[in-house]
Amino acid sequence: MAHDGIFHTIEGNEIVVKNVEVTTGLWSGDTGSLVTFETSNTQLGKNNSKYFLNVYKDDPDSDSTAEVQFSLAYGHVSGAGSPTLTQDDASTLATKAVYFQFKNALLDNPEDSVFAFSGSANSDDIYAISIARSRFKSIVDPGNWVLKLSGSNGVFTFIDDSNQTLGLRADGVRTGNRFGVVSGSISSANGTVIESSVDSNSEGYGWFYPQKGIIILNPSAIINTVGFTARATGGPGDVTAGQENTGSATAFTTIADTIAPLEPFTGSLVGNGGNYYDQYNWHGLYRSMVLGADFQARSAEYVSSEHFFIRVASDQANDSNNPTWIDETTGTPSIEEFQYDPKTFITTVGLYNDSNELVAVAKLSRPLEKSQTKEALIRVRLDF
Amino acid sequence: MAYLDNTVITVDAVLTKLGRERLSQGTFQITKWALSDDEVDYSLYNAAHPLGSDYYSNIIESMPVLEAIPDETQAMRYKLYTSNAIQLDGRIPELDLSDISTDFTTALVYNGGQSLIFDRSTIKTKTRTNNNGDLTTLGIDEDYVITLFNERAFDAIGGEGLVGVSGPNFGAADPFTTSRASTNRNASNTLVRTLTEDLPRLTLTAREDLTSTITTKIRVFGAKTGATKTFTVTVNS
Repeated sequence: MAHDGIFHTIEGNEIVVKNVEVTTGLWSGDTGSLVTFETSNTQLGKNNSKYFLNVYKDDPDSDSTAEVQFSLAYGHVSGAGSPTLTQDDASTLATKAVYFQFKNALLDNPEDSVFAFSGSANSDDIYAISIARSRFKSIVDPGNWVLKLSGSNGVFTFIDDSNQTLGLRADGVRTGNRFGVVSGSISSANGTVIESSVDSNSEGYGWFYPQKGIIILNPSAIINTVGFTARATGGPGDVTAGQENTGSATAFTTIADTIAPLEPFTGSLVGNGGNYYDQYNWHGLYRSMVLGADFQARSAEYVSSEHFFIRVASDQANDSNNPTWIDETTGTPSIEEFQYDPKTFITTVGLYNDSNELVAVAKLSRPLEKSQTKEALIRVRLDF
Repeated sequence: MAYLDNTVITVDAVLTKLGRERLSQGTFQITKWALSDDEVDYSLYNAAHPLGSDYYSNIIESMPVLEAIPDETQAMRYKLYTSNAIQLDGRIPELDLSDISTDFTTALVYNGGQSLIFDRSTIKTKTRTNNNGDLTTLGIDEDYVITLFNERAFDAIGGEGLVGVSGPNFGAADPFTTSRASTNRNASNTLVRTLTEDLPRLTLTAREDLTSTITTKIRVFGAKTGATKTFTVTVNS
């Protein structure tokens, strides 16, 4: 250990580098459970609402600090739920774009024509829950999320099938790209309990992509299990009759927010007075989440930490340049006792590079007395 | 039988502005530490405490400490030193910068092109040994660390230290002639140079292209004693 007046050169055994996994509640405020699902009238009024719905913990229309927690989207391989180009030259085929977007981003082979879920269930449509990147940090912690969906058949709980016993991380969890979405719970004393990995038609519920923070749900299996209200083909009609939407997202959700979850509208659009409207098919899942009122999840990230062990020997750092320590007139300690028994009170540790630049600083919670009869050991942690 | 106290104080460090800049440049390293007692006012040490000597420092030790300030110019103002390591033997060090000025109570003012020169041979670390206020030069060989709080006020040549990744390390290459483009200044605005035996001189030349007057500070401290002097400089536009 080299101590040269004020600077102490750090030896190799005084530094420990550790990579630690830090998990926190996923939602704003690092809370683990999201029970309110607010939407923004501003976003609903925008053109992008036909693609996705941003979901907030707090009401963004009254709270300017509200943050997006996740987005909901609905995609259909043929563009069902969006006006066709024949119906509307300006249609952007929002549901088709969403389906192909997630297909390209998530499937091992993006040239696969459709999403295939367990049970050999090919699905022409998907629900997508895309968690805000700032919320999940590095990864949505597998085995530690729970989504409750409510419908006419009751409340059902969905988790992933990483089979992660609480407190014991299963092999391959971190390297796995995808897990199945299943019904079950993680609150058992034994950890994860899977009740069913498929619905009554043997169709898988969906896939979970932890690194991407995305959950893809199979609408067919979810609707069959949870129970959404069918939306009859044909129209136009009003929303309460479960028929084709003929209004804006805001007008649609104003009504749909008060009724049972609606199935996606996948029939041919009839239109109203020659005008054709997007169907906002993400709404059924949103409404089911609102009624389920519980989406628990954790974020996880690896934090690289350096630990510096600051060992202050008994004869070190007992004198101070603090002006109040010094009697500038006499050039002696201002406190008489310190002239024969010097004391200092450490409040700050400065970490320097070879060029004497102060590159990091740590503060103690309260002053630590240092004298010739006292040694100190301070562990300074620096996270990257 | 009581438990032994095996407490290790653990504290979290935060990167300073300069530390974050070095991290982004890939030149981040930590090689040494120092301690300070910033925020402690020793007049709170009460040797007349009615409960006796155990309570002399009670007020200081009970005081909560502010969070770390992530600014390299604002933290570590008063450094603790080891008297025995530098043969101070209880004497208190003090910097003598009389070669630069004898009055630091008001700002030193520079016009564009004028230079402020720090020379290791003329900066003295002194002590007051005879209790009458007279300064005596301390016979130790000490490097001096100079921190310019806002390097946009001056062009700097000399001393030892790091510069931006794309800029020349003018300290090592040619301390007296190499300059650098203003685009290579530290984003943090803080310039740290050390006067060493090999690179004993730092010249700060007031910039001539300032569009507004800059008032900033310079801190000089001994790399062994920690004796510090901070003063204000103004560079006119």
